[in-house]
Amino acid sequence: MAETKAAKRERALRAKKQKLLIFPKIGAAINAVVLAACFLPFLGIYNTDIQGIEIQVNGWNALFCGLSGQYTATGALYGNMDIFNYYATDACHSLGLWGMIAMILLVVAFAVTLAAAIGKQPVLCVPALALNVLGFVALVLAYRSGMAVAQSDIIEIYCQSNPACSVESYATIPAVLMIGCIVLHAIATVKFFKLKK
Amino acid sequence: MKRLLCLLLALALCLPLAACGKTKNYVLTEDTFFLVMTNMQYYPEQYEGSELELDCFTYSLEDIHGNKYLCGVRKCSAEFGCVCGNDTVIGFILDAPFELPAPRNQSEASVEKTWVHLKGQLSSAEKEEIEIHSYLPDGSINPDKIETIKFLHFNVETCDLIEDYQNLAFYVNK
Repeated sequence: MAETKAAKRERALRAKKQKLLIFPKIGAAINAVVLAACFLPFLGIYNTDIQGIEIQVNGWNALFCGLSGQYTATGALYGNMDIFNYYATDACHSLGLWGMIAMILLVVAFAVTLAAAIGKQPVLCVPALALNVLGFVALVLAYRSGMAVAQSDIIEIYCQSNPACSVESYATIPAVLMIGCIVLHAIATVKFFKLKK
Repeated sequence: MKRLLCLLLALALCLPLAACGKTKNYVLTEDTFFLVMTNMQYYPEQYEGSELELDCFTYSLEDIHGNKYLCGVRKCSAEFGCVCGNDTVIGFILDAPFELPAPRNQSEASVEKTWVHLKGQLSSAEKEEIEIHSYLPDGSINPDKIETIKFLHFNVETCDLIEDYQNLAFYVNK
């Protein structure tokens, strides 16, 4: 009879753990959307009067610039970092650094969350939560670095007093999506530790 | 997970390696002309010693002192290179040991110009400053306003006249 009770408890625990797996599944999906959103400009000059986005650097460009240290090169990998770098070197290097850190954290967070969902390991929600929080902080710092370019001469060169022209950053979109990820993983982590008790 | 980390690490190591090494040569196409030319205006030193190939049209410039320069250019918007009223161009001052084809319709909004395919190298990373009179909105010269434009010198090794230039853009952007 006691054995049956233990078996029941074990089965119930397994069922609860199984239910927990919904969190990493949704989390991995949001993480994937976050990675896709990193193709949005982390730094761009918009001129609504003339041709929309004039020049831009997205999160993936920031990753490649940060990894390679190439801030003066042309090519699809680097976006228009060379042009921004000419006018605001410090801000661009800062964007490259934080962008690179954010992107690596996001990729690893996605991999860990996916491993939790596929490998049925809800315990991985704990490192995923930490990675997402750190990634969020790095994204915010990348956003700040990008917006610091607005203080440089580039606005005068490109916008020439045109109020329809401005420096913008869409790094806020993946950052907002990441808040969803963080909340999800936080709930999963709390539930996981409650189960352990 | 291990594989992913190894991949990221390998990428981190390979990118700087790929970026260094032998001198890179550049063949500018319709897709890359503006980006590479712009980059060259900003960071000319990284193109020193490189072989460059490009299509452009010849363009004559005369400064306020009467000095004449023959350039190889394309027209562009005012953000890059020089800002000289209606005739904003991006390109080089051409230095050649032979006679270069004379410009034709250089200021017209038309592709009917003297197009050439050039091969050569930057003479140096130093830019030459040229003082010119700016233009009025109607296209006439404004004698009261002087603008300074900066051009790199280009050592022309070969210059071939392009006869079929209909697919070449005399105005470039992005």
